Amino acid sequence: MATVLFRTPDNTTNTADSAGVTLSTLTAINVTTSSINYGTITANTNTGATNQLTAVANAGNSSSSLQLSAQATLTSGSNSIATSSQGYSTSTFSYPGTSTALSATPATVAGYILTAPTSTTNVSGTIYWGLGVPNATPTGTYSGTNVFSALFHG
Amino acid sequence: MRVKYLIFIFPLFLALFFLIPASPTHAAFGISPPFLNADHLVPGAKYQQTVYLVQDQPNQDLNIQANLTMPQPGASWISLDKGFNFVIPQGVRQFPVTITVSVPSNVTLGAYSGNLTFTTQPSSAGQVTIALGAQVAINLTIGTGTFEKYSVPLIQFPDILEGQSPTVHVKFQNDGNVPESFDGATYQLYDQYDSVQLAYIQKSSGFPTTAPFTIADYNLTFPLDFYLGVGEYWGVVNFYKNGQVVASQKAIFNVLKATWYQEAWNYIMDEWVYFLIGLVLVLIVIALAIWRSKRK
Repeated sequence: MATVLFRTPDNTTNTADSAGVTLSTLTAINVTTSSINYGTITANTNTGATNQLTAVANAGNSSSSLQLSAQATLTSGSNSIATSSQGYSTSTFSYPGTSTALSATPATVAGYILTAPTSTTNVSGTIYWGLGVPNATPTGTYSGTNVFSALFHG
Repeated sequence: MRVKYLIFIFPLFLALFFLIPASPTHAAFGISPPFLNADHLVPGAKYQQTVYLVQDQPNQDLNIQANLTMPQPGASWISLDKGFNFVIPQGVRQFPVTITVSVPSNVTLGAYSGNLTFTTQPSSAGQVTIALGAQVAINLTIGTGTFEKYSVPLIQFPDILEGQSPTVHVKFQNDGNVPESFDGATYQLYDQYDSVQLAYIQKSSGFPTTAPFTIADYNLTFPLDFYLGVGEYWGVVNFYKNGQVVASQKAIFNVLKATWYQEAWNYIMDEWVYFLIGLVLVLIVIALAIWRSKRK
């Protein structure tokens, strides 16, 4: 709320209050990379210690945790790679190592919290990705969609 | 030799500039507020809350898919005004979605929880495209008790035209599970220096009722028995409920010069009974004149 003091030339004064403004809670994230590219991987091998990185920034005014899921599994025509073949972690890993298998059901990333920003400095974190391609997977260019969801954390 | 070299190189650079795909930028996406907490519902109640899907780069239409994860029967009570698949048009940064909870009359009392996730449907980019989502946590509690809670987050004094009576704009937010309204109001009108009281008006009826769990916006007029001319005035309004002041405001407003047709309209509105009688008399005279001319 702001109070404005008026003063006339004859020194008469008065004040007026503006209406209060309520700041709503906004939970939002920004993933600054728009895709994950694992490159070329042959069947029955994996990305090993080469992780793909996605940077996630808090774009809201509340603390936020993160949920990950697959909206569309990796497919190439009629061929597909199981959703669980993608693994993620909050630190680097050698596939599968400490990674968590991706699933179609949203799962909260354990221990991953983007605190509420208190200045213009970005609050951000990184998710590390890896992929294992099962044996006998036909060659092709596979594509899919992963979902990063912001979850209010108080 | 050098000119020939440049002629060869320049189109090559130009072609590369257009052929290299631009790295797709990713917009931030979120929701406000990220929760729907309705903990004073009663059987048969209808509760509505608007959430806003927010994006920072509305460069193109954005397809959204909503997914409700909630055990039955709670899931069947929830609907969205936009449906579960919709498009946020290009250029829109804040897109409202109203969530309606319709509690059946024969419901088992208790707590019902779930979540509603809104997910973007981006166009394909790279091997694994990244879609963004935002979640609304839903917590419903169905009970039997009466719960009264309301607030008046906004009272404004809109400018009016000369000859009109002062008007107050009210936003009434009813968070309780019973209908609410004011039962009285007073309005004090002061001159531009806030020193001379020009009118004191009491109002004890004509207050709109706000349904449970809704927000109502309405205007209340405080009729004056004199002509209010052009100028600046101060208004002070107090709203009462059960004999207590529950909301008040003091602010300056303007009375603006009215055009001749606005004045005519004001006159008709103020004196509509006489205007109606006059109109009927004129119509009777015209009808008589026509009747007499036909007899001749």
